[in-house]
Amino acid sequence: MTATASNPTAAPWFSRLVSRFRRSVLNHGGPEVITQVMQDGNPNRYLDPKVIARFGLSPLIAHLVVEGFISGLHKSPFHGFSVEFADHREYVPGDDLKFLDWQLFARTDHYYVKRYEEETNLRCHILMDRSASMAFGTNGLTKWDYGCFLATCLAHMMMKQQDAAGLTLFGAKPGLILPPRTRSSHLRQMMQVMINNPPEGTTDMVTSLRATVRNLKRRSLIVLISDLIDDPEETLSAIKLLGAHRHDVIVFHLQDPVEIDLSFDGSTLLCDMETGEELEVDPASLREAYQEKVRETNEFYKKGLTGAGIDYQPINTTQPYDHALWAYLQRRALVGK
Amino acid sequence: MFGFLAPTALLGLGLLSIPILLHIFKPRKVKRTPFSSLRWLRASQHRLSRRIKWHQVFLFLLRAAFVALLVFAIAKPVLSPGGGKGVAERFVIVDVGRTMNYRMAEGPSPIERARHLAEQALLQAVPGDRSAVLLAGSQTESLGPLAEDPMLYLAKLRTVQAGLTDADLTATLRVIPPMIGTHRPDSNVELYFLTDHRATKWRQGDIAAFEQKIGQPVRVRVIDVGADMMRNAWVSSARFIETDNGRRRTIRVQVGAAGDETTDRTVRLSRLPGLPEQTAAIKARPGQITQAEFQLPPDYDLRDKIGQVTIEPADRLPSDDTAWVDLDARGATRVLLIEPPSTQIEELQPGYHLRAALDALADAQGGGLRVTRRPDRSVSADDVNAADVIFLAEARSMSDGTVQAIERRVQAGAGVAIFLGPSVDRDFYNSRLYNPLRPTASLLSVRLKDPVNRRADASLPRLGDVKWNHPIMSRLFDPTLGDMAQVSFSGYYRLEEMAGGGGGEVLATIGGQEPAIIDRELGEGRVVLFNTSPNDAWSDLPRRKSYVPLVDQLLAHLSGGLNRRVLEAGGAVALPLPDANPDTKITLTTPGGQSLDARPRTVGGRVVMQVENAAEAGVYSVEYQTPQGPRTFRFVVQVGGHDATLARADDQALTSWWAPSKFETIKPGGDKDALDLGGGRTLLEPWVVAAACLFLMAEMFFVHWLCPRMNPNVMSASLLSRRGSMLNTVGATTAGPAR
Repeated sequence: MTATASNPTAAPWFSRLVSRFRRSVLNHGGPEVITQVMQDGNPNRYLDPKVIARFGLSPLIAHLVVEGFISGLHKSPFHGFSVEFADHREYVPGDDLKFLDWQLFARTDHYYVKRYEEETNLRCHILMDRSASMAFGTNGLTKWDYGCFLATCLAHMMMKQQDAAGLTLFGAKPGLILPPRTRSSHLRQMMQVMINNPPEGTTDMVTSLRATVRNLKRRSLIVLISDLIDDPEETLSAIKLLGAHRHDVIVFHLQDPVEIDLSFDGSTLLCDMETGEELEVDPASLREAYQEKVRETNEFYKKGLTGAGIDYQPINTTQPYDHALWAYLQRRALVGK
Repeated sequence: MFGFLAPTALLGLGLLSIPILLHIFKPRKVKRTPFSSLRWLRASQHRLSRRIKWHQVFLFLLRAAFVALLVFAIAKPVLSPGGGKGVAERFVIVDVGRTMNYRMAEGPSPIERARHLAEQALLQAVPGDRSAVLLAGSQTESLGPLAEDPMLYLAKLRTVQAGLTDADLTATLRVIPPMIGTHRPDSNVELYFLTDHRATKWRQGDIAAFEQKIGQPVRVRVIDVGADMMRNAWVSSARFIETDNGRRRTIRVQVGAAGDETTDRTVRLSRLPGLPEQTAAIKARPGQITQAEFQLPPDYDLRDKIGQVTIEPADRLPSDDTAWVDLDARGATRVLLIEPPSTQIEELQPGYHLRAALDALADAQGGGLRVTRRPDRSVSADDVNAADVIFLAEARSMSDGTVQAIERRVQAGAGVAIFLGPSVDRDFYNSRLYNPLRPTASLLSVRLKDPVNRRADASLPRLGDVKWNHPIMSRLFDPTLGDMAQVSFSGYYRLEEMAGGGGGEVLATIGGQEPAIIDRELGEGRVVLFNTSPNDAWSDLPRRKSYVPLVDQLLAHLSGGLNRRVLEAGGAVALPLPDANPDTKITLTTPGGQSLDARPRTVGGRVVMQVENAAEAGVYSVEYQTPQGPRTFRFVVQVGGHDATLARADDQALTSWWAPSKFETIKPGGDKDALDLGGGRTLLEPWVVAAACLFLMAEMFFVHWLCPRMNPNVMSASLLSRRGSMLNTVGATTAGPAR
């Protein structure tokens, strides 16, 4: 399949006629699969409002989305939660009353707020799955690009409230690691890393996550952005391992709609993007069974992860990411985290 | 022997190579698409390999078998274990004469049997044979050219009906050689006549001419669909006779009968306005002519009166039980007979034999011929001007005015027959009838030299060098029964040929020397010279059986075909229209009330009406315009009576006529009325089509019953409930074919 970074809806009428003919006569129908991530040379593409708008990733006016999240539409639920008491500071109007030290008020008759060690220094590790399967996508957007948009949005949101965000790329093994920082330049660095390290190779979630656990010295927020295409049992246990080490884990399970529906037309020779293995299938004859299998797997992850206290958010890449994020943030706010 | 009637259809088998070639050479149809992971797919199904599954091969074979069988069916396979080389030119000739409508005592009529058996004869064709169907009526009609697939003619054959005309079976032989064209190597010609096999339908002359032309023996089979004994009574003739200077008027009806017993019949005369119907009882005796007469009042106005004569009760062949009698003399051919009053003894008069022949013909034509006699020296110009045909029966001499009148009349379109003889004035003939100053414009084109007397010869010279294809002579040819070639001459004139030619066409010679008969055009008319006497003084011609037919042919030739003979159904009609213009509009109405297309034509200076085919028998009416106003008249077309005797043909005679060709008569009989021409040929087309349908049903069964086990999407809900979950079904079986 040819890569295209252009909007497929902009194809000329003749091209649409030809492709319709090919679909109907030559059985070349089905979704247009892309396997190459964006290569437009824009280092800030994952924050570029025009890019965000072009992919429909944010129905709201582009550059306000992120700002909207940041500027008080919702307070971020990600705030200091460390249990290491450091000292007190005098209360100023606006501080959250739940951090008010009432015992000290009782003794001193003055209002003091507890300060915890690194309370404004939430450490978020964004784990991005960099395996080759993340380069699969339809409708002009790969899972990798979607994940990058999502990761950038998250990191930006955290850095705006003085939290630190870092990036870890993994595939068959842990890859490049950017430790969490709060500097705005760090965000650009993260984007650059994501741009310069497109997906490749196979997936070994277990090895990668175990290595990650070993590298995390302090309790952190771990955001796993992946398509979870690996042995479900082992993947689940590896993710649970993260949670067992007292890290707060959020799993964004990215799936392309074609991966969910298997909406190919006619006999198709599918080529595994990680292993190179090929398989000729008749999608119509096994679509239902496949969808059932996917549902089963998703249900398995949901049950296993939520049972372990891990947030699990399945995301369809046709879904604008701000909606997905919005829904997630609302849920977390309700839970009170 | 197995073969195909339409072998070119087998080219359709090439269609079977298309799917094979597509499978081999077509670019890979399967789309190669990257996919994130095959992990969940592998769990859902087995690999579908590129190797062709056994069921795909089986499906292809089923479909190929269906297509192949359809192609075979179109090619019309035929099995003929009995043999046959497949190179026969087969002609199925169906008799559609009126006798084929004979009502049999039981069972179908001859024409119905003929249709059925003709179809069987066609279906028994061996692959490679060519067949054609001819209809034999008064004229020959072909249903189409020779074709390898006789099925083409079945639809038309099933609608064939017998007509009202007599049948001429051997006339069909004339069209066969041109239909065959170039002979195929080792090909045989087979003729199948489906007829009631009556004697009057066969002519030896046509058979002989055909055998000469075809150049090889043929195989002739007559399939006799008639009854062995056929009984019939018919109106042989119905004539109006006026005698005693018009004071006695009689309608004389002659009834013929065929069969094995005498029957009581009634002859009824009707449809004469102002007169009551009259009947006469008769006994119709087979082989005899029975006569009945009806008297008409002497003062009865005969103009435009046509009476109908009917035999009652109707018999098994009712078409010839009715005849019409035209009492109106208008339109008759007028003959002027000029002869010398040499003796009072009528039988010795020069024109006696000629007169007798003309009287017989006048009787036969029922008023279509009016003969006027005049002595040679008292004939007037008015007599000449009123005549259509003039006979000079050994006239001695005539006045100049008469001669000039005759010349003018011939120039205007009349015909003249000149008989010489011992009484002619040679000087008169050589100076007045032959004008040396204008030889081409005179009545005679040759000068009479000395007469020759051959009575003393041991053997008299005979008529020779006869041009049998000339209109006067053509119907007189009969190698067995004809006697024109035996006419002998005891006297004749030596004739001097005109310088530069232009003397006319010599139709026969006397002993190969002097011309006996010369035919010549003169202006719009014709002159025929007989170098003999009109009686038997110089030749025995008047005593020959061919004499009256010769005179009949002569009348037709000299009148331009307008001598008003009996008009028969199915034949052409040509009638003069007095006072009509050449472009007059003609309205012709049939007895059934329909309008027919009739064209005016100028013949011999007269305007005539011409109709190609008067199919109905009965009274026709004609209306046309003249300068004096519209005119109408009626004429009668009779049913052909030639075949009325229903005498069965003589197989022995026919066998000798057809020799050396093989001739046989087949009489299919029994309830089945089947025709076995040998070979036991079987058309396999229905069986092949049935087999193709079976293969199609098998393919449908295989696809729609077995494949759903592999293809869950086409499973019905009931099958689902019986078979359990689709996962179990899909996981347990191999992948289905891509559809």
